[in-house]
Amino acid sequence: MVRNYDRINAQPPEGINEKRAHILGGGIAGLAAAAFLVDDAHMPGTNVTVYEASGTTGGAMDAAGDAETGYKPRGHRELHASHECLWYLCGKVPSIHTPGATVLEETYDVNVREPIRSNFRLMARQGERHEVTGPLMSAEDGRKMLDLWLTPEEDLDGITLGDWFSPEFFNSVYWLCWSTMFAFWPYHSVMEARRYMLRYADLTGSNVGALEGILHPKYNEYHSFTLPLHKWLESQGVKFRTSTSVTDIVVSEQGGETVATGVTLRDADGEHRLQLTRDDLVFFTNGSIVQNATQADTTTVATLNRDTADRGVFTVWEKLAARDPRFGNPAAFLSDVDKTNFYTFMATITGDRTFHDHMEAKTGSKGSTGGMLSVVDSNWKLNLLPLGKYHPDQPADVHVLHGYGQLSGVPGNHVEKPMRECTGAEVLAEVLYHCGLKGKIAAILEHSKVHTAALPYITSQFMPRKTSDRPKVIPDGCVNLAFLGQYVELPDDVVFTVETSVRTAMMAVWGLTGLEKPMVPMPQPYYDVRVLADNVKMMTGTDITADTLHTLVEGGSGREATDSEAPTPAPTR
Amino acid sequence: MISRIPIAPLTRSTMEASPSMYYSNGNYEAFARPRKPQGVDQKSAHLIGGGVASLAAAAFPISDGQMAGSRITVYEASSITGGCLDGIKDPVEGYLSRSEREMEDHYECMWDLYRSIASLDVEGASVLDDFYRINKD
Repeated sequence: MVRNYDRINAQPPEGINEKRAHILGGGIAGLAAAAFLVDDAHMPGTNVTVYEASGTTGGAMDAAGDAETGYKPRGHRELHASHECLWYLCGKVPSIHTPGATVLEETYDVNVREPIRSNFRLMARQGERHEVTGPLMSAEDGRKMLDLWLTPEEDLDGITLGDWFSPEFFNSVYWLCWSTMFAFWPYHSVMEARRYMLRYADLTGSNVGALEGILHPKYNEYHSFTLPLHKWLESQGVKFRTSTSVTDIVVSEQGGETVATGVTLRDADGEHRLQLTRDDLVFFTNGSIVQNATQADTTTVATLNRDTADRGVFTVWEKLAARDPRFGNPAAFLSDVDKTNFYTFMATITGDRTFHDHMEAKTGSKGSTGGMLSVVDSNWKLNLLPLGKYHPDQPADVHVLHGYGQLSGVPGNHVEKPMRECTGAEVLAEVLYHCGLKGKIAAILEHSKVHTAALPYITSQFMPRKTSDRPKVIPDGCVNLAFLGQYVELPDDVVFTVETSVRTAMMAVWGLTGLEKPMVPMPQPYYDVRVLADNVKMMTGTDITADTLHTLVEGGSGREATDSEAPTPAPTR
Repeated sequence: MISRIPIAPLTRSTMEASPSMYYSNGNYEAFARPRKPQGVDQKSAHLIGGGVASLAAAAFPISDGQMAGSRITVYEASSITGGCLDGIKDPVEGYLSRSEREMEDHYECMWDLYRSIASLDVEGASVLDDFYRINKD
């Protein structure tokens, strides 16, 4: 539980002015680490350097392209009010769009005015509503769900969702709503799924189809979150070295402690070695969900990159892990691109309202407020996200639609090719077919620019694993090396959220600097009896009332309590 | 008829304290400053009594309600504010205090107030920071 009592400013840790931070990877995890170092741990901004392999910071929180040639983000993330560490961060950062407001206030304000609530969560049969009422799953799978909640994580090593549930679970309304929110598939880890069910129990109970509580940024993730944070860090003196990749990290054992003593970097001028001491703190993002992403446009096809020799930070992680089991086991996540990839697309439609008017009339939701819509009879398992104003400079006659297909290797229902062999135009044609606009495909395509992205590792963090397959944020014995991002073990937390990245950054900074400040606690909605009651309703279809509790208390013991069985008095103090 | 009452669902309406007020549930709501309330520049606040309730009621319009401090007046019967949160060093009688109160770490409203009040003892720290450190050591 987050308490106001813990909202303290910590004193500068001893020796912080003499320390330097080397942040390897400029995604949201690395940027958050820089922010916490400067703003919470009192490290001078000029002592902090962020190294990023690509030309821009933000990692997956991107937004390339423009209205003219089409926007081309690689993906989209769901945000939730319980993302405590993210909102703590955003409360520090001035907005670049709303004068006088922080990024948090700007986001808060837009979600008060335009809250997400889905009225049309599932679609089938070319544009018809697929009802989300009725039992969410069979009685048998309800029991299996309860068993899963009550099974300790250590008993779930290597088990998949498909191993746990019955085959019919994967056609249930619950699965159709739940799996598409987070991009799970039956071969993914049941351990990871269980963490989601518990962590978001207040979001994914009996009302799982409503998407109530999902938040959206004012514009896209880059302009709303990445860019303001980058600019604010620059104003604090933090240095950025883009187009600079890390190729190796050297650690050595010194008197029972593990010290990072060197980092090898590669930029346009070649390889450089940074020699490090204990005063050099290394923050390494050891994986990226957009690693080896390829992009294509309306008339070209994005080829799935299957290269295993060079996969950036994953390769560096593989080198580290090969030397020491404390650094995890990347092979658990990176060994099957056919299972861990999916394709995303972004359609930019100019001067033609057909699609957006059609969908608004169907869903009753304007702009981004309908949230995600999943096409249950799509061979590609398409998920659509109509968006409102996506870019600060977006002209009024430009509309955008984002989406992804969970299965890239099977032929479509209208386009007889797998998504991974399709041009952007073909992807949009398949989407329009499913929305009930088969007759308007050619006309809408004339006004559209479509960008696609092939993401080989986008769900790799969900692959079946053991707890030890991911390094801890600060592996045992390490004094100046921390791991950030989605491939790090955070007790009780999920992976594949922005919050995960920010939380790893917070733990890393608090831990490596010795900051005397409590960590923001993990939300635990499953300890709230109202949430539990709602999730029992999700599993059983039955309302839990005070009657149920009476039955449990009075009927459960099989007899009435009598005076002679009065409880033993408590011992006096 | 209590057995017919369902366990309260988690909706905004059950959390409402008044039509315009609702409880925060974490950093998302606690760290966002509200928009400036309509007409606050034309309003004045008259606080009758100068105990901690009144002093807090004078602080929140400034820190959260964005009211100008000069529009706020506190009236107090005795010659000193604070009510029973007192503590006097008298040269003849010694230290004088009429009573004592217990604090705890879930006083959410109190710590929300004191995290934005500067400590008189420790430079750069809030009253909360100072209190927290003393109680941690």
